Amino acid sequence: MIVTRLLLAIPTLLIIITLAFFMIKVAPGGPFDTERALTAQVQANLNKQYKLDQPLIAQYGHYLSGVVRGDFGPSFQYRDQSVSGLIRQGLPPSLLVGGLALVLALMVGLSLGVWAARRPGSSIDRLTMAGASIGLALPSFVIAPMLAIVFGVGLRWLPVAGWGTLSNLVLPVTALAIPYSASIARLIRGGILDTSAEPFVRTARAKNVSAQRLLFRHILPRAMMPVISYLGPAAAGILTGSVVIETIFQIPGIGRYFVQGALNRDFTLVMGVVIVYAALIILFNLIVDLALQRLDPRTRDAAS
Amino acid sequence: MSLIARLPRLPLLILGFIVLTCVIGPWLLPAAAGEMNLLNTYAPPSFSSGHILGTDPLGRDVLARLLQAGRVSLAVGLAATLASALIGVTYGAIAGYRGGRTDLAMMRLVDIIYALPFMFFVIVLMVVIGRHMWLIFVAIAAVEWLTMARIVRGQTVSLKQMDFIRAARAMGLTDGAIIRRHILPNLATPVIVFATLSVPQAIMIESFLSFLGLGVQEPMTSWGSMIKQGVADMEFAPWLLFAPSAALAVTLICLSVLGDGLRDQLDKRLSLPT
Repeated sequence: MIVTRLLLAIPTLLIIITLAFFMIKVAPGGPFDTERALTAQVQANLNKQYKLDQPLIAQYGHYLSGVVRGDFGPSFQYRDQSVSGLIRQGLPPSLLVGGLALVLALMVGLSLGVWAARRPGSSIDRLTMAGASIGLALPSFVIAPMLAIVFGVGLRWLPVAGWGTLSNLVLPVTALAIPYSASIARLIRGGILDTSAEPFVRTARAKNVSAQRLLFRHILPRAMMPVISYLGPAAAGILTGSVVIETIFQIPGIGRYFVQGALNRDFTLVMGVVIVYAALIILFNLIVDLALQRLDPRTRDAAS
Repeated sequence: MSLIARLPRLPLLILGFIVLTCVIGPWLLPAAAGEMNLLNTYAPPSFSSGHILGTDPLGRDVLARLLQAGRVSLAVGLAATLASALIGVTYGAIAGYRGGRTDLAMMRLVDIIYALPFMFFVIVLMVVIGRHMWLIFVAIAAVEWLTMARIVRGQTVSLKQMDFIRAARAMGLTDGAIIRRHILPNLATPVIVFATLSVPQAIMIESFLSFLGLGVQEPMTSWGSMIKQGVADMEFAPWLLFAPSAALAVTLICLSVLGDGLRDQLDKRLSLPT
C-alpha cells in the first residue's frame, strides 16, 4: 500500500515537470524580449548560454536531469543567482508561515467546532457556523488587507508588513489560517453530529460513560476522520494562499519569487517553484493518507 | 420558480441589487469609469463632491470604477462557469456512458490533474498564454471542469443501468443520441447545483489572478485589480481598499449561501463536495 502510493507519486511529479516544461516552451515571447532590440550576436550568445539553441527534446532531457539533482537552472531575471539558490532562501519563511497557519487553523477550528457541536441548534452553534460560512467565502486577499488596515494602520498594534521579528508573523499567519479554521470547524461539527447518532455511541452512553470520556474516547477519534482527510487539500490551499499573503506582507518566501517570476516571464523560476510546491503537496497528501490508514480501522483492515 | 421562492431571501435580494447596479449603474452615473481628473486625485469619499466613494490615484470616480469592475468580475465568473460546465458535462457523460477501459483512463487523467496544484497551473497558463481578458476564463475553466466531470460521470453510471436507457439501446439508438436525448436531460439538476456552487469559485480565481497582476489589465479593471491598487495605497487612502473588498466579499458570501441553500433543497443524496 505504502509502496504503491510512493510509486504513484513519482509519475505524478514527472507529469507535473513535463507539463510545466512544455507549457512554458510553447509560450510566445522569450525572457530576453526587452524594449530595446538586442543585436543578433547578443541574442545568439544568450540563447547559447541558457541552452535555448538546442533542440527541444535535448533541453527537456537536460532540465529533467538537473531537477533530479536538485538543480533548476539559472534564473532568467536574477542573472547572478540560480533558481535552486533562490528557492533555498525562500523556503524557510514560506514553510514557517504555512506550518504555523495550519497549526493555528487546526487549534481554532477544532475548538470552535467541538464547542458548536455541544448544543446543535443553539445560538452558539448558529453563530459559529454563520461565522464559518463567512470565513470560508472570503478570499485571503480580502482578509489580509483588512487585518493589516485594522491592526497595522489603524490600531498600530502590529507591523503592517515586513519580516524578521515575531510580531511580523501574527497578521500573515492569522490571515492565512482563517478560511481553513472555518472549514475545519464545519467538518468536525458535522463529524461529531454524525458519529453521535451511531449505535456504538448509544451503547457507550447506556453504559454511563462520562460525557468527557464519551467525547474524547468514543466520538472524536471517529469524527476526526474527515478533518484529517481535509488536511491534504488544506495544505495545498495554504500554499496557494501564501502566494498572496507573502506579496501583501512582503515576506521573502518562494510565493513572492513565484509572483515576481510570473510577472517577469522568468520561466525557470516559475517552473522551479511550481515543482517544489507540487512536491510539497504530494508529500503532504502521502503523509495524510498514511495517517488515515493507521487511524481508521476499516481502511487498516482493507490494507492488510 | 417555486425553487427560487424557497431560497434564502436576503442574499438573493442583495445579489440581485449588486448585479442590477453593475449592469445599469454605469449609465446612470454622472462620471464615466475611465474619466481622469489629475487635479482631484485621492479625494476622500464625500456626498458634496459627487464622488460618493472618493477618487483613485488618477482622479477617477471609485464608484464608477467599482461598477465597471463588477461587470468584469461577474461576467468572467459566469462565462468561466459555463465553459467549465460544458467541458465537464461532455467529458463526464462520455466517460460514464462508455464505462470500462475508456472510463478508467479518462477518470484516471482527471485524478492526476486533480492532484496537481491547481492555482499554480492557472498562473503558469496565464504566463504562457499572456494576459488577455478572454483567456482568463479559459484558464479558470481549464481547472474548474474536473469536479463537474466527476459528478456527471457518477450520475451517468447510475443512470445507465436504468430501464429506459436499456430500452433506448434496445430500440437501436446510437450512443450519441442516447447521451444527448436521454442522459443529459436527466443530469440537469446536479449540473445546475454544482454550477451555482462554482460561480463564486470562478469569481475568486479571477480576482486572485487580477490581484497578483496576472488577470485583467488596465484600463479594464475587476474587483481583484482594484483590491491590488487599494493595498498599495491603504495607509493613506483606505477607501480605495474598502469599496472593492466589500463588494467582492458581499457577492461571494451571498453566492455561497445561495449555493448551499440550493444544494440543501435539490438533493441531499447527490453528496456534492463542499
